[in-house]
Amino acid sequence: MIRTSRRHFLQAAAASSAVGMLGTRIAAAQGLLTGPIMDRARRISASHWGILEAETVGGRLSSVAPFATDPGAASPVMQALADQVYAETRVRYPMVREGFLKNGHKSDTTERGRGKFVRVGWDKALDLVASELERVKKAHGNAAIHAGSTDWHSVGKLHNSSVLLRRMLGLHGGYTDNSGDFSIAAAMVILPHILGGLEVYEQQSAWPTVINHSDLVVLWGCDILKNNQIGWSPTDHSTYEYIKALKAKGTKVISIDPRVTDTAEYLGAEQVAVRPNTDTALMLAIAHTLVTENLYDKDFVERYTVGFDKFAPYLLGKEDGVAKTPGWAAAITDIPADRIVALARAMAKGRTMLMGGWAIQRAHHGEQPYWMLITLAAMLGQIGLPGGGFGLSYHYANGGSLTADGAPLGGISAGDNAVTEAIPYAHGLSDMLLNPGTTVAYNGESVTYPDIRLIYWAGGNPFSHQMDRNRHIEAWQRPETIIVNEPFWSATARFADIVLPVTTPFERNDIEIVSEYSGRWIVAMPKLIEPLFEARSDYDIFAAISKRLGFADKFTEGNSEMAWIASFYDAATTQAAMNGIDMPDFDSFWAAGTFEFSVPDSARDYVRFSDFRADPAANALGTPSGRIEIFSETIAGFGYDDCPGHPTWLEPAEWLGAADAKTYPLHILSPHPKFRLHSQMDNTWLRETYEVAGREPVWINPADAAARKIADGDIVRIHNARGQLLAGAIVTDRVRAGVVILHEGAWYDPDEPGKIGALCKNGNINVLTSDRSTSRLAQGNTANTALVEVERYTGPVAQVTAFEPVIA
Amino acid sequence: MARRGIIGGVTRLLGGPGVAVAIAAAASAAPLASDEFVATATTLSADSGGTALGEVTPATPVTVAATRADAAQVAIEGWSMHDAPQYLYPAIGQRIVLVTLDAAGQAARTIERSQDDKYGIHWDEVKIVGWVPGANLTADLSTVWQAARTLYQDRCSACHALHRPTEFTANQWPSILKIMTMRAALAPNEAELVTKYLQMHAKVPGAGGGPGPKTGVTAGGRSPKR
Repeated sequence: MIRTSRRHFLQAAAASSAVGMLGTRIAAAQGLLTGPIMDRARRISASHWGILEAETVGGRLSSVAPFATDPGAASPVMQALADQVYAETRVRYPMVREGFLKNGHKSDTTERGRGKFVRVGWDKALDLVASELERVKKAHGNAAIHAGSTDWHSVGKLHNSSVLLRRMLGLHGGYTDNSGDFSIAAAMVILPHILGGLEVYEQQSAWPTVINHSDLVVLWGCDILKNNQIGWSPTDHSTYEYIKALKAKGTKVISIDPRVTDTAEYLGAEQVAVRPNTDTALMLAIAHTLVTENLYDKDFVERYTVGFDKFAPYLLGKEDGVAKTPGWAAAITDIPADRIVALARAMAKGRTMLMGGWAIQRAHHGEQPYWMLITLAAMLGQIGLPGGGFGLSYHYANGGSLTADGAPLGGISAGDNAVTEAIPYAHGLSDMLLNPGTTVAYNGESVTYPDIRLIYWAGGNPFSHQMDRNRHIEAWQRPETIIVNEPFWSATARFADIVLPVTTPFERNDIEIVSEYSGRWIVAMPKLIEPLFEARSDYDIFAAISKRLGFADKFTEGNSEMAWIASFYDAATTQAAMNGIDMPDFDSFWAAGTFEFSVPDSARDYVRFSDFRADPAANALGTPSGRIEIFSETIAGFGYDDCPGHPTWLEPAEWLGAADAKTYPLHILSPHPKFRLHSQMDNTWLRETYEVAGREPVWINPADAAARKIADGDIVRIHNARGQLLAGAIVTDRVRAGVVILHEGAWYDPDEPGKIGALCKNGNINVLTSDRSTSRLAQGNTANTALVEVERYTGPVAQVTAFEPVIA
Repeated sequence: MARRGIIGGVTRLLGGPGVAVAIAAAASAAPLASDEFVATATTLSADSGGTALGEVTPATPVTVAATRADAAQVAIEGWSMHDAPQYLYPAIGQRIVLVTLDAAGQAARTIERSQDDKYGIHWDEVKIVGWVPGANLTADLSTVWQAARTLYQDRCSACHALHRPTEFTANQWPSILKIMTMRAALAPNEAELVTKYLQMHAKVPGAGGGPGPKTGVTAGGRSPKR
């Protein structure tokens, strides 16, 4: 077995070298086996994990290491990038499901996921794709074509697969797109009503202001260390230095979270192990204490907010007869009343920064904890002061890093889309496919689901992230045609009809800016190795399809790959010149590999909302009132009982206090993984470092494990009415009793591929999650609202096969 | 960007430039003249080529009072928060910046009446008169909106699915753009144009604000979205 030999190799390597060198060793060994050692070269490139230095030997990528000046701890995940390039799961050739090749759009779609794939030539594959796009457009109209991808495609301003897909489909006459954002689906709809903007992608108060001024940092479902490894654009890791400084200063940190995060552990945070999905109740009780103990800032509330007078009666129980006291919340949250009172007093005592993660809004009624967190921050009255207020992006892309005086870098664009209907994607994908013609409420409007006949996905893995896998599989059988561009045999590729092999970023030229909040570097991403097997870039694939459909000139605009890249860079130099910044010409930049902008001293003092605080009229927020809306007339006007006009505790459909919790007594959470980017990198040697019993680990509290006779390292079966999966048990008190944690992104690996209800052998969480929506306001996803039961698995041990290649 | 000079338009209507008083008297009664818009970000001056009063944003409607050589005297009306006299908006609670007034502009404006909104915020209805280059005026916003729309598509669809202008309200769009200006590689003048475009084609909820009757939406054509 290749897996076994690889593990032996790892063990041998571990005995003789540092663990951090493992990936390098494996990749280098692959190079040794196939070619002479010659033409050794090192070049700079970039990834979601930051700027990197790649070494090539004899035409092969041998190793990837962090950029020498990466200011923080570069992610260890980067070391496996070379292994990913040569993964056994690479898609080598264009492949078509046999049934589809034979019967076309009239094929038996229940064969998806299990039907045999047949190798075809590129011309045949592209002809097939073009003719399907033509057929669906003619027979059903452009709205019947769905461009799903908005996932974490590889970095690069040109080879942006989801944009290139939309560019091609837009020129074809349009497509049904999605609105919303999987990560922040609830936040992005409710925050514009409360704060007038998205907020979650807003630059945070600079870390130095937190370090210098915060007396207390509260991490509310927020794991800064784990999640800042990555960014949508290549990220810097400046946060890691700041966290060290925060620890050195000894600032008090409280982590309100059902698990002990890496950040909490590193900082020695006080742990408040709240029950999942009850954050709003805890916040309400803190607010209640602030009112009853006269600790809230009445001047701030008066001057900078509206609607407190409508919220206070609810808080105090004058509206519904239930005062939201610490005693009331203790029964819901499992946090004792005196501890809640102490939390309120601690927050009001000095300068307090509330750092919220995004996980708490990926839950049923996920709009509420965000609304209430901001209400709480407003009551504390420190919004706009250094070290105070709240931040919703400290855990993402190194928010709070210092913003450089630079120039932005643009990229290729999708252009227009003649089909205007867009679906709330995160929740609505299965819903749309199963219920065409149905109208659903969405943020005061309504959306009618189109009848989708063709799905084209490029640069993403819905068979990892889409909730309620079995409903998803049923939905996936509805369209006539599913086309996927993929470098790897992910489950999404396996459930497609046509699979086109795509290059990794090392096999093409591109350019990037680092990072989203700092904008500090522009980085060249030169092609380092030839495309593997018959892989082509998404750009070349969509250009070839465009040619068949008659609009290649519009797709390419007559540009070569390098001409596009140079044009993005040249536009940046023009903007830089307007700011008085000199940048080298493109050729010099390309040869050097990076260009770094300078960071002004003033960046250290940036405090979010300080302008609003200084002059709330001139810097009015984008809400109807121009202020923070604790009560929103707009939302109240929608009349949604699942999202009323002010922050409200609404019982989730599944939680530890629910009646259902007798049948399924454990709440399962699915945080982001430490050693993957969602499902990316699960097909590398990294898996060997974290898997338990050959599959994804699940954290279970010792009390819950003992009650089920589960020992550390056991294979367990996790199940509920929606599905079942196997995982490897880690018995740990880093998760509170009653809660289990299965990090999202393990590759879906059904024991009976394509079958609804199949057992996932590898532990993909979304077999168990529900795809109900947050509310009619945001129609967001609710992956963190799910109850399950866990049992020691005694059935026949099923070998994980998700990482074996599909043979032609 | 094609710009049609005001002089040409007024000439056709009134028979010839040069008699400022006569034109001003006629222009105040001429419906076409009040349908003029500033085509691009433009400095408003106290007199032709004189002291700056403020900056007018693209697509702001103006009433032409007089013309002289290559300049036009225009009146702009709107509402300001009492505590933020520098910004002129089309209506109470509708934060689409028409003009940003300097100190001189704030001194020169006339307050026609005052009113509190439903949140207790005090607003003034304001009129400001000043001079702009005639070449910066247009009666037809379609070219301006087309340029803005193209810019919006080119830059904002490079990372994510393009949001419909009606996905956010006129008040919300500036905050969204502020976050995205860097990511979308928009220069300040480009960001201003795209912001104004999105605001003028935004969602019009009961309580949120949206394009008013004098803001030029009909001239440019409302977005064909829902």
